[in-house]
Order: sequence, then structure tokens, then C-alpha cells
Amino acid sequence: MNGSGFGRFSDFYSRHSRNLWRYLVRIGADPTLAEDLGQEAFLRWSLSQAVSWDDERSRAYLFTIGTRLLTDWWRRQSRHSAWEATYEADPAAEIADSPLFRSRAWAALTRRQQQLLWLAYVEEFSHAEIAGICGIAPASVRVLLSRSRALIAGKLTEDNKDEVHE
Amino acid sequence: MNDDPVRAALRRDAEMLSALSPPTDAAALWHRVQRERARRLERIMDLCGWSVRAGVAAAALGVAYWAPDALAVLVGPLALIGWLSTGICTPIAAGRSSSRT
Repeated sequence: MNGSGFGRFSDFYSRHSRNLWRYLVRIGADPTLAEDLGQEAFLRWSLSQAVSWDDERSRAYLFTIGTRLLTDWWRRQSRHSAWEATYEADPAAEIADSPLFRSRAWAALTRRQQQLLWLAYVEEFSHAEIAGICGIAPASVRVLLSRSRALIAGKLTEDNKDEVHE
Repeated sequence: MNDDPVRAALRRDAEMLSALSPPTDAAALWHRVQRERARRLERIMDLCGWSVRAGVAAAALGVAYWAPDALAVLVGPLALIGWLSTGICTPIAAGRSSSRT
């Protein structure tokens, strides 16, 4: 029993721990915090009924736990869930050293917009799953995602033009 | 797929972050999971133990109230309480404190 329990846990953990970590980092957690929250999310997942769910549903639930843990952490830090605020914290140098970050297009988005884009285009969750993870109405996801996409596309185009002129 | 600049930019960033992510150690986390499961089971057992004790004590008081002449009946429930307080459900069993540390 323990062997199969560990097998399921180990398999799920090895497939999703990196994805959860990078998601938490990109929506505002520093790398160490993302690691701690990620472990806590897996711990809670393994103690929940979600262990017996299918992989896709389990994965969405894991990201929901991770998101809530980060939101709770922000609240404890008296920052209130600043989902609508733009990204202001300075990320670690190695985390910031990516074309997306250097372009500043990502920084122009609110945390909510970052979250929606990441979940939709990197993790490829469905709109219903994104709604569950973000705690917003499913009908809002399409609209918010469309706006976020238009915004970052415009910023990326501007950046590309600037690079060409330079 | 590849001609979508937004998706491509996000994917590139995700790949870069994946390379920076901390190493995974499922075994260490699994030990935490097992410890937490044991703690939860312990709490449930404690709750069950106290529920049974409270039930027996309430029954004994009920007997004493409704049939004060039948105090001899209390011997059974009191013996049961005594047995439970040294049984598997007790919160003060030997070695319990060391297992929590």
C-alpha cells in the first residue's frame, strides 16, 4: 500500500513540482518562497481526496492550492491580495534574466493578467480550470484572458520595434 | 503554434525557469506526508477516545440520576472508563510524547 502510495506521489511530484514552482515565481513569489509553498501544496494535495482523482483534475487542484497559499502569504504580509497591482518587487537576477522579463512586457501586466496568461498558455489549463484556480467566474476568464493577451502582444510588438530601431 | 509570439515568449520563459527550478526530492516530502497522516490519525483516535469516555460518563451520571438505588450498575461503566484510559485511545499513553517530537 505504502509502495503504491509513494509511487503515485513520486510520479505526480516529479511531473508537476517544477511547473508549480515556475508558476509561483512568475506571479510574484521569490524562488525560496515558491519552493516552500510548492512543498506545502503537495503536502496538502497528498492529504486530500484529490490523490484519487485523475491527473488533470489533480493538477488543477494542486495549482489552486498553490495560488491560495501564495495569496494567504501575501495577506499575512499585509500586502493584501494585490492581484490587480503591477509587479513591483525586484525578482532575483537569474529569474529576471529572460527575454520576457527584459522586455518589460511582463511587468506591464497586473498579477491577475500574468496569472491568466501563464495558466492558459504555459500550463494549458481549460477556462473552467483557470476559473477554479483563480477564484473568478468562468465567464470572466475568456474576456480577461483576451484583454491580457492583447496587452502583452502590444507590448511585445513595441519592444520588438524598439530593438529594431536601436 | 510557433507563429504565436505571446505563446512563444511565455514558453521560452517557462523553459528558462524550468532550468533554474530547485531539484525535486520526493522521498523527503513523502516522509513529511507520512508524519502528517500519522498526526491526523492520532487526532482522530484521541477524539474517538474522548467521545467514548464522555458517552460512558454521561450514561453513568444518567443512571445515578434516574436510578440512584442502582449505583452498583456504575461499576461496569467506571471499569470501562478505566480500561479506556489505559487503552489505545488514550491521549496519555506511554511513548506518545516521544512520538510527537
